Amino acid sequence: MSVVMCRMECRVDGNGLSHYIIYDGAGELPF
Amino acid sequence: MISEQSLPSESAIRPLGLNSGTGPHLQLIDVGEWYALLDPDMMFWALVSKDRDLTRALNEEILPRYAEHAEDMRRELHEFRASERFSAVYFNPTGLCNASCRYCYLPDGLRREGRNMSYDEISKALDNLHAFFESYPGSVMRNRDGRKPVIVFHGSEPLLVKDAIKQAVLDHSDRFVFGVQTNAWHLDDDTADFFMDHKVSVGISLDSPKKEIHDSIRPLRGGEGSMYDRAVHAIEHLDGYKAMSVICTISSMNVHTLPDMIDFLADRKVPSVLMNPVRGTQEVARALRPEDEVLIPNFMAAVERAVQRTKEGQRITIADFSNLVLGIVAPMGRRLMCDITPCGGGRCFISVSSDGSIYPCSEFLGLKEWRSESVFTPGGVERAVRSPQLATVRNRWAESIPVCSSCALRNICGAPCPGEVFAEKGSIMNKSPYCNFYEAVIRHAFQLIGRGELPNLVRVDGYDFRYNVFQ
Repeated sequence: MSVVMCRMECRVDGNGLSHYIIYDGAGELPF
Repeated sequence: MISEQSLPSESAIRPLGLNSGTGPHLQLIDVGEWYALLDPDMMFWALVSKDRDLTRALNEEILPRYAEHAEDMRRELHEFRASERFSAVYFNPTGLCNASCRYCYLPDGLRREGRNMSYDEISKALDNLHAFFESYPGSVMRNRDGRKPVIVFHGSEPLLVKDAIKQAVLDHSDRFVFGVQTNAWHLDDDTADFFMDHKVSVGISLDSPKKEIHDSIRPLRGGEGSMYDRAVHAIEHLDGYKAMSVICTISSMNVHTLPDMIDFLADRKVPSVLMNPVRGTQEVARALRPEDEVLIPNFMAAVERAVQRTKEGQRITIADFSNLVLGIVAPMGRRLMCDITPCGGGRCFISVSSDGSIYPCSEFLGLKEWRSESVFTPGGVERAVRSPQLATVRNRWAESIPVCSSCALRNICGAPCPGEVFAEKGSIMNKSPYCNFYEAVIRHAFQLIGRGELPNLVRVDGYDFRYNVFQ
């Protein structure tokens, strides 16, 4: 591998807490 | 006549335009066997192996991609950072706590003598928060759009009023998604079952796999018993519950146990752990900050252990680290709002103290200068959001912070945390006390991406890539 670039099309609107993880669905979140 | 020998080179006549004039501005940082080229204003980046011809890689692969996507990416990132995106509330239903943690961001007097909200007060507050989320232009979680904002019952220790919390969940689940962050002392099996049945997220505070360490950092306030035993029992009872997470606060007392903590949690099917370096909002906490020389290698070892366990089939995410990775590969996909400026405080969420006062974030709860309006007053939430206290945090851009303003990593790290730097320096416009840590960890994140570990750090299944070059 000599060049790596990527950009995921992922937008999470909401649940943007600082200290805490909230799962509100079935695996649709990036964590 | 100009001799051939005095002619400028081809690259000088038709340069790449890199870092001059109106050309692309890509800062170069050294990340192990790679160079990372990075434009922080849009989070365009490329890794180039050090044994590759850099000019050729720029010409053939990097700059064409940059030209195609740069302006869209710049606009998206700016809009994401500049906009209000209210979706959640840290809600302290009691000021009391049954633990006396050595590093708590709340003053000890508050935790010893705080008040409990009555159920009627909690219910009234939720009504007013609902009205805010439905009507405020900066809300992104409106019931009428089929979306529910998040209420996290936070500490102090919220389960000191667990009957009121359960009633709130029963009465308000049609309007909110709920979570609880607890030391687990009062998280009996019936309560844990209730939370699982009602899809309440549960965060357990556990600082070490070693009982003597956890109990010395987070002792019970009065009485006898082991906080560790209760926390571990709760984790085992939750038994892989998808909406379970663990918060591990890193201090000089537990930093050596971070890698073993990953195995301990993976063995108990915990899907994610936040490993947060202790915030020095209080002086007692600043005394417990781990040294960089110990923190950085232990944190990285924990990351490597988590990658290994994930590859072996037991997925475990160190959420702080994965959030930094998202800051690189999907800046608008970040789940946590510490690692961005302006941060989420007063922009994506607010914090409600047990007397009803609204603050930008829980880290500010012990700092009276940052208290604003009351959640109990109709219209109080919107007035709080528009108050100078919350607006000040919302205006903390890395570009205006000394050192951060020229740092290539400024839009990955986010210079956390404003509450902490205010408490220590008297102004929120200072860099993070963990600056060296973030620098090292972000470099490590780039190396892991270069190694092809992205799917073991964040979920990539189901997501499209605008571009994805591995060659």
